[in-house]
Amino acid sequence: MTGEHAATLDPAVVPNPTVEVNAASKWFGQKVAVSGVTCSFGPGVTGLLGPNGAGKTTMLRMMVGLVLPSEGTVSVLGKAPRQNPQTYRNLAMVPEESSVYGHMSARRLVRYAAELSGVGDPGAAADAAIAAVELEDAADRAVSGFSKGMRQRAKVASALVSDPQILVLDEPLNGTDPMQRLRLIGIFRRLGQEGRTVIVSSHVLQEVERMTDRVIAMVDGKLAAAGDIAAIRSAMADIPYRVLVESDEPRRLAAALLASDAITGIELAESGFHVETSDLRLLGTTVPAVAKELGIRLRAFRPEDDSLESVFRYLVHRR
Amino acid sequence: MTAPARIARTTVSQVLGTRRLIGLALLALLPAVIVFLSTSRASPASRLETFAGVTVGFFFSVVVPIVALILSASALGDERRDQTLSFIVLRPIPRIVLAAAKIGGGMAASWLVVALGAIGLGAAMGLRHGDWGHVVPLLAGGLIATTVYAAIFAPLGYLTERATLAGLAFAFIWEGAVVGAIGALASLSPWRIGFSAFAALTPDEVLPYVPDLALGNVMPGAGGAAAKAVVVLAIGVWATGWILRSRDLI
Amino acid sequence: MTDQGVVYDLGYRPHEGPRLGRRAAIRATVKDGLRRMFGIRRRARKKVLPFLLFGVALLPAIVFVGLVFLTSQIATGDVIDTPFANHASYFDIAAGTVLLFCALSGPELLIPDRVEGVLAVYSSRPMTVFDYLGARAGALALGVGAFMLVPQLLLYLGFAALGGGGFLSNLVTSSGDLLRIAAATFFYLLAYGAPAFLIAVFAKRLAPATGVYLGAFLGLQAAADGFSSSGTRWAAVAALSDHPSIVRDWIFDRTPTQLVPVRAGLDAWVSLVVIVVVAVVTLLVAVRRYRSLM
Repeated sequence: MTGEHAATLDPAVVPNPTVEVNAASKWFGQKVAVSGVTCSFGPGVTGLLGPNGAGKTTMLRMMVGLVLPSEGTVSVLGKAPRQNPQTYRNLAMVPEESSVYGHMSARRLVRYAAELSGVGDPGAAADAAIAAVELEDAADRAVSGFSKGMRQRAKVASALVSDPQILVLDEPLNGTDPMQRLRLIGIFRRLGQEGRTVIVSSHVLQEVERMTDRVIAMVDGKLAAAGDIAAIRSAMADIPYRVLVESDEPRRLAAALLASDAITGIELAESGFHVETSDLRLLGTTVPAVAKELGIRLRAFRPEDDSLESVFRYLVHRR
Repeated sequence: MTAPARIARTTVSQVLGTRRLIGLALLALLPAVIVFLSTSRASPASRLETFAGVTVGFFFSVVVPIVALILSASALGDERRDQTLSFIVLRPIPRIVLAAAKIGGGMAASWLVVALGAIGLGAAMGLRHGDWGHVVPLLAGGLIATTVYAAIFAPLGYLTERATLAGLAFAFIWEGAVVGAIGALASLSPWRIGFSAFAALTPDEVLPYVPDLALGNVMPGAGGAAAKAVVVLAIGVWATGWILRSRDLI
Repeated sequence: MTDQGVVYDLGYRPHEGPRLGRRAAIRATVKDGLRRMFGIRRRARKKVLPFLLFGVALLPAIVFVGLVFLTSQIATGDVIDTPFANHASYFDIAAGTVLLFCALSGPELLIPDRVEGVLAVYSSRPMTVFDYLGARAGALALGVGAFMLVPQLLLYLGFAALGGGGFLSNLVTSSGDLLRIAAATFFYLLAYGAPAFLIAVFAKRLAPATGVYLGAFLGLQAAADGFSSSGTRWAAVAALSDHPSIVRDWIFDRTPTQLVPVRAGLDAWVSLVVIVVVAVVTLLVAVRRYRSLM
């Protein structure tokens, strides 16, 4: 009940959270990496976004207990992982850094992870995890000879092998080729759909978009935005929407539209014109109505900046 | 195999890379080679003198510290520098158990190499002098000293990349020069703790040839030496567990 | 798919200042080497060991000058030949710390560049393999020089100031020592620095390289002692840490210290040859290896 209530108040907070970050800050000497962040994560995939140095990695490290918050608390399934190692039965991380033993084969590495996590049949679990990331062909080769993408997959397999309830992934798609990305994105989505908590940080915004609608964006160590991508965009009232309109007679249509209150600016383009508006809904009804009145054929009406990338760009440039 | 045992075993193979193993094994066997080759035509007294000199001046004061420092400081230090620490700490294993497993692994690797040297040195004396009674005392003393070094330098290796050099400075400046000159400080010298066990167990004929600086004011005694090693080991494990619990693990 | 392309002006401005060339690159590499060895512009704990060792090397010189000052208050006279220490014997005091400093610095100068893949940055500059290795060796030389020469200079000035004959005349009288000090320092540098470089050329990690370096020195010393005393006279050439002291005695025209090669009956020139040979072998091996890397 309180969770639901909180969710309606603050999109950074979810009902029935599995991971809770409460007013957490982290500083290293003079450098503040994370500053007073409160948010939570529940079942499903959540994207953690931010430019380099935004504090994403420190946030993820705090969540799994690699780094202790300087202030505030972080809990996983209601407990601080550092003080309760049993939490790691349900929690796994794919760190951004190397974190693999080069002298081991991929199979040995994943099996080692299974053994350390107390998995019942480590051999079978390792084989299944390796198959899930399609690494069977290279499974018996030493990890030191792997490409970056193969290492990433070995790391993901090492995390998946313990069948964790909560999976924290720091830039898991780095170095992977397009086919492997598709495969990994599919795995993460499936895990989210199964009701697991999957937290993914990434710079590749289109891929985050393909994994989830819920994002948490950080800029300069602070929470910059949270929630559904479209909702975040519509919450940015100070930044007008930009829409591309293509029609038979763009100049005549543009001139007619200038009289409308829905429009804050127009810029002619090659095959049409860009319209800026603060009310996308009103523009959506105005443009077809004006076009019909003038007998102009409308060919396209395409919002240009409600993608995650443009939302993200606005967030970063707002600071 | 349990998770801590698996960690310890992996640590052994991690810190004992082929080149490192060969290099340290050659160093560990050098005292044996020296004793074996340099006592071929020596009188019994001269053999004992050479053996005592090499045992104190090279095996205990050089081989044991170097082997134990390099290998035990790598046990946790390499995990940190190779960025593999998260692989072992994000597991449902209590930190104190993890600490014990890592120190145990570093210690086991050091033991293997030191034991090789001890057996070689004892065997050299057995072949030349006909007395094989030095093997077990060398093993006991070497392993006790190694345990103390490992317990101290495994956590230090995590904290600083220069733990090995700091350890070697400790071994050569503090243990070599300072403790050598001030015998009252001998209890603060790990290799002398091990040597006291050796001195208690080895055949009595060696003791007259042992230089004074080897023991300082430490009395020969295997039980006392083992007890000291256990206490230092317990403190080392506790300290490492505390570090893993209370510091950022990056 | 589009057949159009555009390059956006991101505001990048290429360097328009002077191109300083090879000498500046070498100077910068030497400077970087010194910073690395002493932990300058790095975290405090990187500074602890080098400065601690420097303090250990310098402290006795301060103490000796202090003692000479105290005794000069009691009895006037010629204190240039002090009973506490002279220039030649001070090398024995500083040698241990120099050995540890080389164990620390040799690996620090070469290994990180190689392991972290930074060598390409140097190869893309107007530098040859010789320049790079020379700059690194130069940094080590400056570091070791500081360890050996600063305390010696302190002794030189201190003894001259406290001597009976007046500061300037004492400086002139004992000026011959300066050349001898410089020559001995050079051979200590070669004897201790070259093996540190040789190991660092192959090692992948700092700590084991340090251990192997000290282990090799001490192990060879013990082996040389053991074998030469049992009749294998030429085994004494392996006593690497003794050779610079023997050359030092030669330079200062002193009675040779009873070190392993001396006890084995080897002449001082043998020690000199061993030092030079090890240095030349190190140079050849290092250049060969780095030619394949840079």
